[in-house]
Amino acid sequence: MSSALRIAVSEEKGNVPVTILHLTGDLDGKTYQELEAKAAEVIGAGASNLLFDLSGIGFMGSAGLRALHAISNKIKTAGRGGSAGKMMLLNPTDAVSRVFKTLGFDQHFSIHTNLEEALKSF
Amino acid sequence: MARRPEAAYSFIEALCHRESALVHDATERAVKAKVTERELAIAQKIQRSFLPDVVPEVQGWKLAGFLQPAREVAGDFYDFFVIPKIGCVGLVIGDVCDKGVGSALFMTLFRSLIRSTSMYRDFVGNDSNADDVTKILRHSIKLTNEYIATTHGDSSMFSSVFYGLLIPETGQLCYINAGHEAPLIVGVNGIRARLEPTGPVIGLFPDIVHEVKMIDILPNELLVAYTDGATDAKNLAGEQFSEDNLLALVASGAPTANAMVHKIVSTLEAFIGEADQYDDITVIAASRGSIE
Repeated sequence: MSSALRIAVSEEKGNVPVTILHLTGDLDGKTYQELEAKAAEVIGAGASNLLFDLSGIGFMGSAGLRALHAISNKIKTAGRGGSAGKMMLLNPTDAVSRVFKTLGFDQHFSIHTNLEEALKSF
Repeated sequence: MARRPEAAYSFIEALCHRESALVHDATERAVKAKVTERELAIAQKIQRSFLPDVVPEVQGWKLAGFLQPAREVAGDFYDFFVIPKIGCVGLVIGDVCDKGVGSALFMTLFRSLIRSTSMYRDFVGNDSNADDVTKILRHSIKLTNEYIATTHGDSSMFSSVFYGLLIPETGQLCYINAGHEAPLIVGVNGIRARLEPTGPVIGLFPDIVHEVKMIDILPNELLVAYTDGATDAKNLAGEQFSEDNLLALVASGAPTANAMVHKIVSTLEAFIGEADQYDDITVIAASRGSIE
């Protein structure tokens, strides 16, 4: 049984403004469209630096990975004046880290385990 | 109402018109559902043709494969083929992300690109030496990855793939594991080796190079590969079959590839019982006989 996805949004000011999406629940075939819609909403509202807090994600399915990749493509052209935006991931659980490693996503996404460091790296 | 028959007629006429519209809508929905069902049945039949209808006969080896879609069509795939001239055998298993029709369309693309880029090439000799086999593996995975990542990059569709090329005479297996669950080499003493990923999934990241690794499959050993639909299968209580249970099952061995696939599939079917199948389930195996 898939667990519902909850998404809370907050703003942080590092070197640049960063929008943090705090995700809780499962990110799979039943919930990934909610994430895509929320990301499109914040990007549409002007966000160009996104940090996904994955500490509350219990299960990451391939549809969730697909959604993260699609958002990373979108954010690359989301910066104001055509400059590239950035997307990073924060604190995946061990189970989600294993999925990233097996599928090789850990080589292509910036993954952090510390909020301060993540904010500085934008 | 009896004193105003024209009002009664008008009321009845309106009622009939409404009922007629409802029946028409229901009929239209039923027809559309039937058409969709028929189209899916055709898609299922066509997709089945993308799986090997005949398992190649390979001297000294037995091959077996099984795929059970969770829905009408599958995102999983497997393939067996013999490379012309050099005679080595392609063993492929893959799992396209997500489920349903989109995954199924991409399954046909991944499977066909891997097969065609392996079968039709002119850059290697006619011997099944490891250098040529390595070239074929690299060429096939590189072209498939780059084509999909550049031509269909906006779709963010990807697939995990294990692609092994077996040299039947020696038992040498050269392989690329693109983000797939580690296939297992099983002998009389249980699992001898796990063929861990040698690079990421394909279809997303252009310009990546997958490492090619090699292992010898010894007489009386089997190669067993599966998709995560096997380990993630759930029963009515919502419990997962789990990787640990699958590894224990595989470690207990089987005399042939067919027996191993049958053992895994029948165990999973008993575990799932009346529960809905959560994901596509695919299992392939290759067993090497004893040397006479």
